[in-house]
Parts: sequence; structure tokens; C-alpha cells
Amino acid sequence: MKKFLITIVVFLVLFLAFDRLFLFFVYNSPSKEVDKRLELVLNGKINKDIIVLGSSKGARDIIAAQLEKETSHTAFNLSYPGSDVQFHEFLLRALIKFNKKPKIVMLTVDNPIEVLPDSLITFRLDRLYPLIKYDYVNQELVKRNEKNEILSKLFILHRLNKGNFDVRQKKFTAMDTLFADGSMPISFQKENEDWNEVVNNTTYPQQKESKVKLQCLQKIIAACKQNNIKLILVSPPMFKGANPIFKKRILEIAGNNTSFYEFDTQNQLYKDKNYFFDLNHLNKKGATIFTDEIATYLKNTKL
Amino acid sequence: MVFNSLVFFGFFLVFFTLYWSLSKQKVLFQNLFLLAGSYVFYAWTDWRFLFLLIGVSLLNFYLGLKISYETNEKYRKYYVYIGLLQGVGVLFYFKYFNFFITSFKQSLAYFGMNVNVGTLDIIVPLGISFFTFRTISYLLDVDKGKIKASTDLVIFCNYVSFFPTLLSGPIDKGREFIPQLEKQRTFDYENAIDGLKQILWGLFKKLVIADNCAIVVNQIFASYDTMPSSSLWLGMFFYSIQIYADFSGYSDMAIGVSKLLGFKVTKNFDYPFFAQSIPEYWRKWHISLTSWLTEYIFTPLSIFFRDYDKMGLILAIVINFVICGIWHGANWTYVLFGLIHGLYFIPSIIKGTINKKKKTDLTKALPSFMEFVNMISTFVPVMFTFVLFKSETVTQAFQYYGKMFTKTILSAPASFPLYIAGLVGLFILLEWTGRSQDYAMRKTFSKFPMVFQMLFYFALLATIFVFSAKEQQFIYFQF
Repeated sequence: MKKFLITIVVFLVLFLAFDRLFLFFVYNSPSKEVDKRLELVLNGKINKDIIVLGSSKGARDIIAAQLEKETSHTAFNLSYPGSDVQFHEFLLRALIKFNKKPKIVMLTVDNPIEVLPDSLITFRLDRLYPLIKYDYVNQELVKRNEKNEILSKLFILHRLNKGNFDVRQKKFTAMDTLFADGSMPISFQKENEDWNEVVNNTTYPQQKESKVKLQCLQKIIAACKQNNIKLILVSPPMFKGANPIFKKRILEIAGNNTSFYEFDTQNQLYKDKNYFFDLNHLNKKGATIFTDEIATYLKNTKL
Repeated sequence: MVFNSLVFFGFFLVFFTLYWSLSKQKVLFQNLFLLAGSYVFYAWTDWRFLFLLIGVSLLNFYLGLKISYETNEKYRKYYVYIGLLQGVGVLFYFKYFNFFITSFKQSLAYFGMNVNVGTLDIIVPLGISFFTFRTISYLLDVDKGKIKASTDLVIFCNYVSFFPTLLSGPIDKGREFIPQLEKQRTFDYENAIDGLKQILWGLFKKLVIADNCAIVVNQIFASYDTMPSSSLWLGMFFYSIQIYADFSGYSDMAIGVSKLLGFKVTKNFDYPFFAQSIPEYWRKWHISLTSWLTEYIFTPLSIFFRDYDKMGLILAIVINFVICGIWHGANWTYVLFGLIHGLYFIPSIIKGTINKKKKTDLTKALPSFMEFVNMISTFVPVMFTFVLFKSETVTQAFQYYGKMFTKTILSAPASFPLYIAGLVGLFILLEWTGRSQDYAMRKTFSKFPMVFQMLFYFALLATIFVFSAKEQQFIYFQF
């Protein structure tokens, strides 16, 4: 038994030493990232008046620099393509914790999948893993059952993900070119997009709503209220128009203290495909028009 | 409490230390402590079922004694029947009651008759199929005189409830396991290290291979109706690997934990996907269940049907495998799974090769052409039946099969993380090179210097840490 215990202890000590070698990957990962926005948030470097949150709609359809120019409020875009409301809630929490609280948060909603289970939008874990050197990020992974708290404290290896081993410098792609203001507008149009696709805007499966996503949206609303942040839910233009039942549902969830801004449905430009990247996203020309529309809304409502 | 959890780690650390500190005490203390540990382990999941486990143990202990000492043959048989009735009855109530009610209602509805019989809200106790099979085999063995009835209640309860194998087997027979409980266990360094290695290998199989395959499998099976056929083939392949890695991984952990406690538990898998024929596959897959069924179902049936020559054998095999299928769960998918496997045996019964073992050289790096052909022609039909295992209904399974043969079979499959294919490739390679051993990495690198061996284990642990996917429940827990 004694020999067995000694073997185990020696093995564990040597393994712990081996494990510490992987610290290199923990500290090397952030430097390889091209999108530094989350790290800036964690380091308290995003101190802006207006923050745009959302998925690709937020990232592509709203240009923060233009908003800043037109409203004389500082603005930054913290939208991540493919992200869901759970991720937005995490971002807002981190933003409030480490930075000066913004005055306005504009959350673009994905019509109609904002609170529906849909694999198109997820919690962007891939944005968290490169930043596991930050305890806040690790705690979030633990909270989401991605990692075990005790193991992640004991072993560096448990903190890591396969992506951390990719030591190549990441590069922007044509789709994900990030501007200094955090926005990601696209200047071209999607190839082979079916502009005549029939979109059903007459139903909304409320019974399929995800409880977790609903709770996250409610948490965002509550956090903004608690921190005196004006929350505006924004519904950006869609080539085939927005689902009115979803809008009604979002208004119901949002309650009286949250504003809802829907794109100008009368604007004929939003019926012209030349202003769109695809059916659901504007291109840079369209984004400029929509951002101008929002800026006017902000000025008119004196926010 | 599952093996791959920190709760189990904590539990086992304390248990292991105290268990071996009692090693110089009487065997009774060791057994009492082992039983207490098993009950804590079982109650951790749902304490209410502990009473069922204890009740079943007490009743079967009593019946065993009665069968053993009863001189009147008629009464003796009564005790056997009571035991069988209890075992089958408990299984029927917890696992199959709702299934039979629903099937009965559906059958009547087919003929236009609607009956208003409700189903029950029943939670299936974990491990029920495993401990019930243990008690049934014990009573039958006592009846046949293959084993003497245990006169020690603590030993018998330990046999029924031995925690490493309680939830998902292997299903040890009393005649193999009870003698181990009767003897004082002494700590053996080599055995304990071997146990740890096997646990590590089991963890790798479950957390790295099975749980990562599940990512692809769940995605494909969730939207098989929109996926190209090529993806469905991939889904079927990955599910076969997943279920093997999941269950054999659990068995490895169970056997490894048993070794740490000084027990030798029945081997449950012997590289089934390298089998050369269907009969050989079943000698290598879930060995403890197959041998149980062979002894207590197939053999009596084949004796019963012996006058019908090969037809009798076919009938015995088919019934045996239908029971095997239904053992897995109350669903027609499992019945069909069993039936198909039974039918797969027909060619070897007709050719008379059912018990023939094809000689293979386990030291060869590569299989011969014929070995390779045999392997593939065994694996592919087996793989097809796993679609039934994964599907919720027979209709869904057949829809899946139907979609597998469309013209999209030649198109590129929907994208999936390629690293998973890499992990599966590595796994198959390690299994192939280690196929002469009890478990693949038992002696891997044993000829190398200590430093390299250490590095190999470090790498395996590192892979477990880094590549562990989000935890999935063990598939066989539902059985």
C-alpha cells in the first residue's frame, strides 16, 4: 500500500509540473486573437455612452462611429455575429462590472429567433476560451457547466480548450473585418442569395421559446433598469419585412420601461436589395442609412 | 453518482482509504464496510430505491436458502418460481408496464376499439436490469446445484449491490463473485496500478471519444430529414463508435475500480468491432449479458427445440435475441434490434459455423485481406442496427434508413468538427494495436523506458482534460 501511495503522489506531482507547462497557451492565446473587444471589456477599456449589443444584425447594420458622429455621444459596437441573448447578457454583465456604465444600450433583436432555440445563434464560447487567463471568463465557463470549478483551479489543462493550441495569428476574413468602433459592416453582397425566397412572417411559435433565453432577456432588462441605463431594443431592416407577431411578443416581454425601435417600414430603400448583404442583413450602404435613422431617433427622443 | 464525477472521486478516496485500513480486520468488517459503501453510492442518486435494492436482496437471500435446503422437489420449484416471478415482476413493473399498456391500447385502436387504460408515472430505478439478472442467475444456479446458497447475508447483499458494477454491470454470476467475497482481500500493488490504468482508459473512451462523437451524432439525428445521405452514414458510424466507447468505457472504469478493491470482475468487451462474424461479435460485445442469456435462455430453449434440428436452433437464437433486445428497454426499436440480430445468425446456423472461431493473429500489424473483408461485413450490419438503438420510434429509424439511400449519398456530408474524426481514428488505431490485451492500453509502451510511459499517461490525461466534451449521461444507465 505504501508503495502504491508513493507512486500516486509522485505521479501527481510530476503531472502537476507537466500541467504548468501549459500556462504558455493560457497566456499566449489572447495575443493571437484579432477581435480584442471582449478583452477590452474585461480590462475596463470600453467606457462609452452608447453600446450596441447583438448578433450579426447589430454588428453589420449599425455603425458605431457614425452614431458617435451624429449624436455627439461616444459609441462602441459589441455585437458578435452568431451570438445569442445569453451571450449578450454575459457581455452586458462584464461591461457593467469592469467599465463605466453606458448611458444607452441598444440591443438588436433577431426577428423572430431572439428567444427561440436556434442553432444559428449560440453562446459564443469560442470568444471566451482564448481569454481563460481571466478568472471572470473561467467563472462564466464554470457557471455554464463547461468546466469544473475545482479542476480548473487545480489544473491548467482543464482550463484549456483545443482552440488554445492553435498558435497561429488569427486574421480578419472578408466577412468579419472589424472596424475600430467594433462594427463589422460588409461592402459586398452575398453570392447566390435567393432574393425571392418565401418567408413566413405570419406565425410565431411562442410555445417553443427557450426559458433560458427568455430569462436572459429579462435579466438584461432588469440590469439596465437597476443601473440607470436606457435600454433600446432595435429591430433592424429585413428584406422580406419583419414578423409582426414577434414584435408584439417582444413588446410584451420588454414591458413599459424599455423602448423598442423598429426600422422605418415605409422607407422604400429597405425594399431595394442593393442595400442588403442578404435577406437578413444590410450591407454597408444600407447600414449607413439605418444608422442615420437610429441617430435621428436618438436625437429626437433626446436620449 | 457516476465514475467520471468529482463526487465519486471524493467518495472513492475516502472509501478506498478506510477499506484498506480494515484489511487486517476480519473479512466480515471488510464486507460490512463494502456494503455500506455500496448503499451510500446507490442512495446518492435516489435514496427511495435503496429500499427496493435491500428488499430484493433479502427476499432472494431467503429464497436461495429455501431452495438449497428444501428436500421436497415440488416446494423447491415453487421457491424458484417465486424468485423468478419477483425478478421478472419487478422488471416488468418498472420497465415494461407502460410499454405494454401503450402497445395494447395501440393494438386495440388498430381494430377500432378504444380502451381507457392509463399509464403509470414510474421512475425506473438505476441498475434494475443489472441487479435483477444477478439475483435470477443466483437462484437458478442454486437450483441447478452449480453454487451453494450463501448463508452469509452480508456477502449475498454485497453480491447484489457491489457498487462498481451495480449501475451498468458487468453482470457477474454468483458462482464467480461470491467466492471472492468470502475471502479476505489483500492489497496488491500490481493489480491496483492495473486498475488505475484501466480507469484512465475508460475515462478516455467515455469523455474524449464517446462524448465528442455525441456532438456529431446528436446533430445528425436531430435533423436527419434535412441532411444529405452521406451525413446519415457518418451519423450511423459515429453512433456505433459512441455507444461502444461509452459502454466499454464504463465497463473499464467498473473493472478498474473493482481491481482497486481487490476484486476480479467479468470482462465485458473484447474488441467487438474487429470480430470476423456475427456470432463472434456477440462473443465480444457485452460479454456478461450475452453469456447470461446463453446460459439461462438460449441453452434451455435450444434443448427444448432440439428435435427441430436447425430450425429449432434458429428459433432459440431468435427468441434469445428478442429477449436481449427487450432487456435494453421498453420500446419496439429494441425488440426489432434483437430480432434483426437473431436473424443475422441464420447464415452461420445453416452453414454450421456458429461456434467456429476464425483464427486471427493478434500480433499482426495489419489484417489479411480476408480478415479485413470479414471485419467489414460484420461491422456494417451491426452498425445498421444501432440506428434502431438511437431512434425513438421504429418509424423514425426507417425514415433514417430511407434517407440513407438517396442520390445525396455521393455529396459531401454536412460539416462537422474534423478533430472528432481524428480522435476516432486514433482510438481505433490504439484499440487495434492493443487488441491482444484485456484493454487496449494495458501494456502499451510497457517496453519503453519509464519516462516514455509516464509521458504517455500524461498525454492521455491531458487529452481527457482538453478534449472532454460537455458531459453526456452513460447510454447504458437507461437500461
